[in-house]
Amino acid sequence: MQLFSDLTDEEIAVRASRERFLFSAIMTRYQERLGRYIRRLGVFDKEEVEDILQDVFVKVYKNLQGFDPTLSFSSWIYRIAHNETMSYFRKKILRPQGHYVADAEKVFLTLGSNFNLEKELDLKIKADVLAKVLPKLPKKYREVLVLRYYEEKSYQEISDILRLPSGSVATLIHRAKKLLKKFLKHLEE
Amino acid sequence: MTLEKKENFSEKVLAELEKVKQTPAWKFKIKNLLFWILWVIFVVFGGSLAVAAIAFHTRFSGWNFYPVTHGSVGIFLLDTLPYVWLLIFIAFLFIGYENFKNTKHGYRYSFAGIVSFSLLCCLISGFVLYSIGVGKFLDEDFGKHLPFHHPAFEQQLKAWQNPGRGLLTGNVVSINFEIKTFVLQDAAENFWQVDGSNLVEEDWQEVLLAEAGELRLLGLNLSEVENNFIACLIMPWGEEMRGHGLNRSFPICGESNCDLPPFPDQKEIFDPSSCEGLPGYDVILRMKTLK
Repeated sequence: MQLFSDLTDEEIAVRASRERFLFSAIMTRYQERLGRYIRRLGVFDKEEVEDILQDVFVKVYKNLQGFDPTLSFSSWIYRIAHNETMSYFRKKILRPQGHYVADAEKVFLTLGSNFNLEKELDLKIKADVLAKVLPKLPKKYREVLVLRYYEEKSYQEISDILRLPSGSVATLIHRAKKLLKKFLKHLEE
Repeated sequence: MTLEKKENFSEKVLAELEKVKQTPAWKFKIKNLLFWILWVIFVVFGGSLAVAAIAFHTRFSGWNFYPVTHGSVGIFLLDTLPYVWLLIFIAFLFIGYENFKNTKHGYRYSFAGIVSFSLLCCLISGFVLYSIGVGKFLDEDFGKHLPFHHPAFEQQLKAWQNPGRGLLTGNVVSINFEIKTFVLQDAAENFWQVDGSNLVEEDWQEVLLAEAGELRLLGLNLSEVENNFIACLIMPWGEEMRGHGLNRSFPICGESNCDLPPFPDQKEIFDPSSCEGLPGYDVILRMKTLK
């Protein structure tokens, strides 16, 4: 695999559509990240995460020739992971029941510094508070917050993943933060 | 995930991939092309046809005469808007929007952006089609087969075939210059004895003689039984309307089949000797003078 470490995802993707063995390089690069992302979207069962992840890679491989090199490969594979997870929720008639909290502290700091939560609300909120509040947000807001603050995606990348105009992404993030602030204030009271 | 577990997972997926057949690139290209083609069909083609029909219908729905035919702009619009074409247009725009959104990069554009762009395309191509006569064909010839749609000319004729409101339309059959009267056959094939003594000389010379044929009259229905009418103003239908409907048979607008609200009883407010007090008379007279 070291032979391919210098290649970009996009280059590997283009070649992997002809040489299947290269696909393992894609899996190595994305297995952890996508697994985390699926958990952050609200799938907790490890086996189910693995099943979804497997479906994601199968779908990616199947549609590899449809990959548009003008997009980033990362956005494309995240989009597939997002769609597969949503389809899992639909099939199970489930709603995400919680949130992955392993790195919520880091996310909280990013979010907090972003709109001065502590200053404005004078709250000593811990990361697990954020993890409790996030699942209460409507799906559209939760999705953008996860991508922006957990996955650290740019607005353009989020736009490509969720297939939304960048302007709508900015609006959703703004509203999501406002709502989050309201929830946190409510918790304080 | 431990390294061992990761490797197991990779092997499992790679084994699964053995059974998977990749979708060829041309299928993705065709899919994208299909969405563009559908957008072109619904917006550039369908939408512009609807715009051409709407433009034609709007232009010939009788704007100039709304003070006498309908009394107010609101009633006029309610009565004459081309609802069917508007609905078709909105449906085409919506279907076009859905297709555009599904093209490769369509999701990057906002709803307002896509709709504005589609609207612009429809308007440009729609007015080109209108200028070559497609709008007329759609509203008149095709439109008469559309359920719930009344072509513009038909609506105008209906509005003018209303002697109770002082509106009459028809063909001039004979003229008697000595006693300033003429006989008119309306669209329901009734004959009317029309008193033209209130008409100015220009009307006699320029309209009755020069245009002799399809006319619209503003005046007073003196006797419904004897079909006597006093004409205050007469106007030709104009080039666009010529031959577009007076050969059709329309019933006179009466209590049972008239959609328009009634005017006040004209015999109480109208002076037949001078035409004063006739609703809309001043407006139409001013319009005729300006011409």
